[in-house]
Amino acid sequence: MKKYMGNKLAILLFIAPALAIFILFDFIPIIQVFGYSFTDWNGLTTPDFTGLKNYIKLFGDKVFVTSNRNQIIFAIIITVYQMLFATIFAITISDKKMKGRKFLRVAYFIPVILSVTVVCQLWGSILDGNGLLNKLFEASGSDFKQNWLGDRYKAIYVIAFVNAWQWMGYQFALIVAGIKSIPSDYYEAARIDGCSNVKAHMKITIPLLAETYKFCLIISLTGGIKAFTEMNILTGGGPNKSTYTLTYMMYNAAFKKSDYGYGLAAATIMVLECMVIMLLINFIFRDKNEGKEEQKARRKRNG
Amino acid sequence: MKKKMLSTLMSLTMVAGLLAGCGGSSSTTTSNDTAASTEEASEATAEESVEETAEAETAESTEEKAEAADGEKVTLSIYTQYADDDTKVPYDYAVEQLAEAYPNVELNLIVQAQDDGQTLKTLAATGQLPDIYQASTDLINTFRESNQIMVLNDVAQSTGFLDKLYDANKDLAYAEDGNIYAFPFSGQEYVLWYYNKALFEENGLEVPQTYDDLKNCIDTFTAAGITPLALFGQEGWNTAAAYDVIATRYAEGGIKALDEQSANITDQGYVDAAKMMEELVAAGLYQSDATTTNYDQASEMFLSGQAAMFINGQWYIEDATAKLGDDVDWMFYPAADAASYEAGKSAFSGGGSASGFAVNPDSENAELAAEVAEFITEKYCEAKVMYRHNPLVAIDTGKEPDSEYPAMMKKLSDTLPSITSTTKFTWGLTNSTFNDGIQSETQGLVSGQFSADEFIEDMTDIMEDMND
Repeated sequence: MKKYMGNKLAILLFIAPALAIFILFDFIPIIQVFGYSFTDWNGLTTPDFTGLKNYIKLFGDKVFVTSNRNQIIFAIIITVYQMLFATIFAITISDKKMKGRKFLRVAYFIPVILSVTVVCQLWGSILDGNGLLNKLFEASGSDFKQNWLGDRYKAIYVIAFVNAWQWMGYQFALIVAGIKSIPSDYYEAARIDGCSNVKAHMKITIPLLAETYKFCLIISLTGGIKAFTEMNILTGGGPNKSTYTLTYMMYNAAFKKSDYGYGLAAATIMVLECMVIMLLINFIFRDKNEGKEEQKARRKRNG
Repeated sequence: MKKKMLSTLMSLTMVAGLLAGCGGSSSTTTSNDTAASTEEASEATAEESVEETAEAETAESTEEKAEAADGEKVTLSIYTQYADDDTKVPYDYAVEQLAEAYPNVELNLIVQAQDDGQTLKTLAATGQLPDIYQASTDLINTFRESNQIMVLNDVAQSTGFLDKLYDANKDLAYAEDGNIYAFPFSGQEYVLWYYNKALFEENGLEVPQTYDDLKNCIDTFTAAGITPLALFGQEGWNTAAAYDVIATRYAEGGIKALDEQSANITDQGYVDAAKMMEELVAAGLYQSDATTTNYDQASEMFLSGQAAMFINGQWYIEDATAKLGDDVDWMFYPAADAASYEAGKSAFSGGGSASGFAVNPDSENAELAAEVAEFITEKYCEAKVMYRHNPLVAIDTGKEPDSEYPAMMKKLSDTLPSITSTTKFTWGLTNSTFNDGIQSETQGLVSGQFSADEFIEDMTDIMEDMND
């Protein structure tokens, strides 16, 4: 191993393909997005530099405030729903005594393999004004008929639920894999010490899954910030842009108004928000002892 | 040694394959030559007198057709709508006719996506525009700036397209700069307020002339469990039309005048229209989930008798008549009072737009594509008249429908001479900021969750941004 790690050329060769793809398809486009956000550009002609004009307009746009509010609601709902239910379901099916665990493991994951469009059509039929849900209320004699997708304030919660329902299975799979990697000795030792099942999971499973949770949190929160498909299919961003997000603003400005500069300013803010969230999560989950241990190891080596 | 031989053999096979693939471009070369000769010929004829030019060009086009007949097949890509009978019938008819007039020209259809021109803009950005494409006003304006749309003035003249254009549609052919960028096939179109005659009779109601009458209809239909008016508010143009049919009762210019900035949203007429719409929404004119209802759902509500009224373009006459027969008709839009109702009979929402078949100037067969685009446009108009019973086309085709016009179309034809003003459908609006704004803001009004004051306030901001 040491031999390989000492070979700089080998390291470079192994890293190069992934690095090239990242630079070509991620890094350069992001830089371009940032650059074009300072221009007036219709996507076809030569862009005109306009300085901070797009950003000034963006920060004064009412839809920008609505979009950010929606993203926060969306991110919080999907994070809480997915992490909570994924943890509960993963712990439940990890119990080898449980019956039907194989079936449940597949059932929880099925929505993930479905196309977003299919899922949205499915929920669209359920949540439609004359859809299944309202019909069920009607059949039960209740007058609790709601305009689930057409409500200015509530629609975003419903859309977030649809997303959370679909992608919970993904986090479930990650947590199940995480639980499997925890040695059973820990649980046996805890049981010998008289620890209950719940306490064992609280003290062993969850703390040892910190890295998994960190990853889950990053994908949930950034997924919330980037949300677009569900609102595009279920509400079209309406009524009157009340279910817009920054991605929707970008799409609308670029493709409906041919105002790429403004759309890319919204995209830049979205990228920055995602980066801030990642930095925050990394800061919160940082290993406080890591620094000290490294120092100790260095002293030992030097000593 | 064996390995070396095998790899050499494989390499040779690959090179041979590549060469064979490249050899397929011979047809393009032929058409290039044809295009070049056409250009040279047209340059030469430009120096001659007007009459001579016309004669020469006619001869030239005949020669070109003959050349095409002798030469190899030329395939032109075309990006157009092909979704329902209204778009499939004209296209199929045009292709059939093209096979006779231009036997060596083949069309490669790329079905237009309902994506606000996103696909076409992406194709333009990557230099892959089809030879012929259906362009809306917004696209024409965008591609004009990037020189990706051909000026068709000469072709329109030489093919006689301009002579065939109805006087009322002359404006539709020309863009703001006075050039022709697309051959329009649709003429002036209108937003019609359809109603189910049978439902009105069953409920003892007269066709509403004033908003008070309309409110009375709303109450009666709601009490009978019938949706007064089914709107497909998921599509922004339908909510904009719903506002426009009210706005034109107060300010004749409707949304067209706002788009052209000859009127302002804070003008009393537009404010009154917004307040009236707010009142009608509160009274229950539209279904409660109108903003999430799509066309199929709303149309089904109307055609099945679950809704008494429907707002759509005149192209819906054929479908509505087929399903409801004599039970369906259209009404003049209700107004604030009887006098405004009578006065408003000559002002309609809707109108024509400078959209139609455009040509990619960078096409290898641009000249031929322009000629074919004009030919297809003519055939579209013919098919619409003959098989779709729609006389509202851009040009005089001289054709008759294969059966009688539906009663609603006859009524509209009789009304046409008295129409003095029209507005625009959203796809005919020239300012994309306004277009986007009016669609979403009227959707807010229809939802009943945004007040008229909010509408006016937001639209004021949008109109301030229009010149940015």
